[in-house]
Amino acid sequence: MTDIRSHHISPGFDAELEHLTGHFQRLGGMVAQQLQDSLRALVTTDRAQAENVCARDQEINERDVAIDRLCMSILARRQPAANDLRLVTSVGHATFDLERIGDEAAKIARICVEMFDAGISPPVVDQIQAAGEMVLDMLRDVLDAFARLDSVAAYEVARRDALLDVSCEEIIEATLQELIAREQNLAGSLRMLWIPRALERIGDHSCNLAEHVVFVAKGEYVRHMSLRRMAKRVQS
Amino acid sequence: MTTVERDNELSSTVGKPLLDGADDVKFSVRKLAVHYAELQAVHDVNLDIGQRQVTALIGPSGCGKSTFLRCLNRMNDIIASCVVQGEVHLDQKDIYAPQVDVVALRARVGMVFQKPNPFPKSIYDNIAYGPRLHGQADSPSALDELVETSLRRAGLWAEVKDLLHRPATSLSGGQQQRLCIARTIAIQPEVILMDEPCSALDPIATARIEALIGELKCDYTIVIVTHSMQQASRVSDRTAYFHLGRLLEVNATDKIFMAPEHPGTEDYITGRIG
Amino acid sequence: MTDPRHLARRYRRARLLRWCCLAAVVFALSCVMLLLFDITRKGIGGFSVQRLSLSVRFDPELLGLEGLEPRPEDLQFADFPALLSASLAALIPGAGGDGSQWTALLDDNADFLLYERLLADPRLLGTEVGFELPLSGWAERYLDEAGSKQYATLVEAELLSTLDWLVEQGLVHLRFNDTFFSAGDSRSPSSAGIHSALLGSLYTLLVCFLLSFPVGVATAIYFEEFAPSNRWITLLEININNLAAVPSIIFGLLGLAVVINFFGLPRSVPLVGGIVLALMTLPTIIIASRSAIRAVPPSVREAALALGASRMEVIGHHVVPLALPGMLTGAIIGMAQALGETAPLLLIGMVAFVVSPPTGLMDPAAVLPVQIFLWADSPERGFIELTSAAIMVLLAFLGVMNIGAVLLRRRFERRW
Repeated sequence: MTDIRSHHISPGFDAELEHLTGHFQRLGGMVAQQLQDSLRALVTTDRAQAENVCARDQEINERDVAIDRLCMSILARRQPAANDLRLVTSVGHATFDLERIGDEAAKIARICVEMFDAGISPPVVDQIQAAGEMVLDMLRDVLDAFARLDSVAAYEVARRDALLDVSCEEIIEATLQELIAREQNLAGSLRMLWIPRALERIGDHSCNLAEHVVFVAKGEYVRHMSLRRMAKRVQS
Repeated sequence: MTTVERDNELSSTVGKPLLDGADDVKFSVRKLAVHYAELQAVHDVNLDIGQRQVTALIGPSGCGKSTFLRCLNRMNDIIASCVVQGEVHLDQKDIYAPQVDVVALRARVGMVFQKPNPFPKSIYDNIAYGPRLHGQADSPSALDELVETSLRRAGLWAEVKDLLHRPATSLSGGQQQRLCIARTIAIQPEVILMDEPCSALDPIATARIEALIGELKCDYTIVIVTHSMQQASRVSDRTAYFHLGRLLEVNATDKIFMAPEHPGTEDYITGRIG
Repeated sequence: MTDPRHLARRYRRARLLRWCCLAAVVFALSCVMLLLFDITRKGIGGFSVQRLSLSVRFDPELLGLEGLEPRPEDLQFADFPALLSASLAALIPGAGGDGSQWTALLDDNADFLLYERLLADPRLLGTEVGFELPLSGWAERYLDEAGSKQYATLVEAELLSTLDWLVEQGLVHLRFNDTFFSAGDSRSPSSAGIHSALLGSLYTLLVCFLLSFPVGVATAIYFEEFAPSNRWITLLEININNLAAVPSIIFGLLGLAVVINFFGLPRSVPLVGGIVLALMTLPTIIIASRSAIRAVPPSVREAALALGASRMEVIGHHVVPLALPGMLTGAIIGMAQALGETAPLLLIGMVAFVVSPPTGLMDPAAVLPVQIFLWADSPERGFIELTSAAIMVLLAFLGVMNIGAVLLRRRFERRW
């Protein structure tokens, strides 16, 4: 994401920033992969894959720490200012969001494993799969926007969050009805409700990522803002 | 009319070069241009400098920031080839008006230079020189008191109170610079101009001076030229960025260092080739 | 990696340079030492004199002064040579005649000393007074050169043996030559002194300093601080710099034409000499003062201006005090030059034969270098050592001036 800007006088600084953003993008890719894998495990009732996802979460946590360390090092040694400062601090924040997305993906995988073990077949899989695709698109798009520092694309991601929230609510509704209809092992099946919740949280984290993109690109705080105001900031 | 619109009407400077409340404006500079013979060092600068604020002037070497600073107490007058056009108002009075007395102006607008430049006299005489010149102390005891208060304000009293009659040049660089600040304070100016006051000092001496600037801004209007962006970000309330003799951007220091409006400013403060 | 042979070559070259410089210093020093040694060898004799202790009774009869209270004009016609001869005859045993043959042992004006003494105190008439009278030139040289037989052919053997006898008796003493410092010029080496020349130099330099230093410093301040930069000022600056290279005799001509012929001041006086030397010294002082002013760090100027000092205050409080040591150095260099200057003074008539020391600026006077020039030109052998002695005095004068300059600089110099 540094290649669209002019270079620093110190090539070392350029290299460090590239190193940082490279790590961030790779972490983003990994997290998206985790999410995709956990969803596929749910759809295909593949217990092994779900366990894999749970296992890989540890790696994500380690990378989160590594990126945090990099950010601190750049802050301490380079004293970045203006867009560099915004980039480094935002990458720090965004990494936190990615790590939480990773946690949510792992949570989905863990719920899958529990349900498979209990012999419960997941309800409304089609709907969850659709919503999952939606979240995955949001995540990929926002990572892309981050790479290009494209605040318009980021805004588009944030806009889609409302839609996601609606479909997650629908999934919860449908799941509840399905479970009531089944009238069996209700306690175990209730954990199913965590899946749409997790998707919804991932959507929210993607929104946060979008807000960071706008902050890096525009220098404007758009956190905790209505979409309308955010749109105004993005276009200015 | 919003501030931004008014600015655009005046110049190409982005941000907020002009202040809204007239009471808080110490200096207001309009359409200032400075020529050295053929060379134009400052182009069309419009800037308000707020009272009891620290205003930092930053920019690459030769960008005209020092020249601009020296216009504020007419130190450029001593350079024969220097021609100043435009208006500089101090408390709504043009300091380049023909009836203005430069000596009186410089007693109101003091200056601290890049290299500590104490007179080759004793510490006491260094401080006492200005007040003696302007007849500000009626009696020897009043002068003693003035010397002490000035040194105290500059945070130097504890270090030099027993060596007042030692030559000022025997002090360390940082102490000399604080002595120069004390010397400036002694004539009770309203404004203190500082031209890269820490560029010859080590980090600890620099930190002392910066702390001192923080204290002094309660009573004085301070304009500081600095090459250290960190210093500008640490000490100033507003920052003005000069580039090739033009004032590109003026904003609150927070704004300049977190999200400058002008891409030139951003390139400069992030260390890119501008 | 540097090639070690290359490095060795570089070191060798550096060593060679050092030796060349050292050789130059040694050469220059040895030249100076040789000169000083030669002058000292020749001149040291000028500071001492051999004197004969002689007891003289002011016998009124011999002097032809029968009256008890002689008037000064009577003394002028008294026969002091006879008195001297008689006293010598009384001292030296086995002498036939009236003793007049011994007077050749003593300086020509030995009888004059007797006259002066009696003139000062007429009551001594009839009493016996102890004198130390200077020996004649040849006798002194004979003693200096430890019984050289060179004089045997020129002087009667009897006189030489008498001289030897007197030395044996312990009647001949080596004394400090106070005449050299107390007397004016004279045709006779033994009674010639540099007093009037020394005073003349002092007066001339005083005039020179009082004229050239303030004018030079003021000019330098004008050029450095006030002069606008235009063509005329540049022209003036170039001319002043060129003036420093003008041969000094031109200044003498100028002095003659302007000061003496036009303003009608008298010749041979320290005032005119001082004016001419001041003209000559001015460029040196101006150039030195200007560079001293320029060497004052601009930061000090800025500091004073920023504190609200006016331009005059900056100059008066800071620039001039800081430049003063440099200005004084320039002035001393100029003064030293002026002290050694002969040519322009010859033209304004300071080459006159001056016996009595000048009492003021308008009294005819000689100066040291001119005195040296005159003596060096004199045929008498005694003037050879006087010339060298006078050169030593001149050098000492210079030395004192330089030490004074160093002390003044120390006093005013400040670190910054």
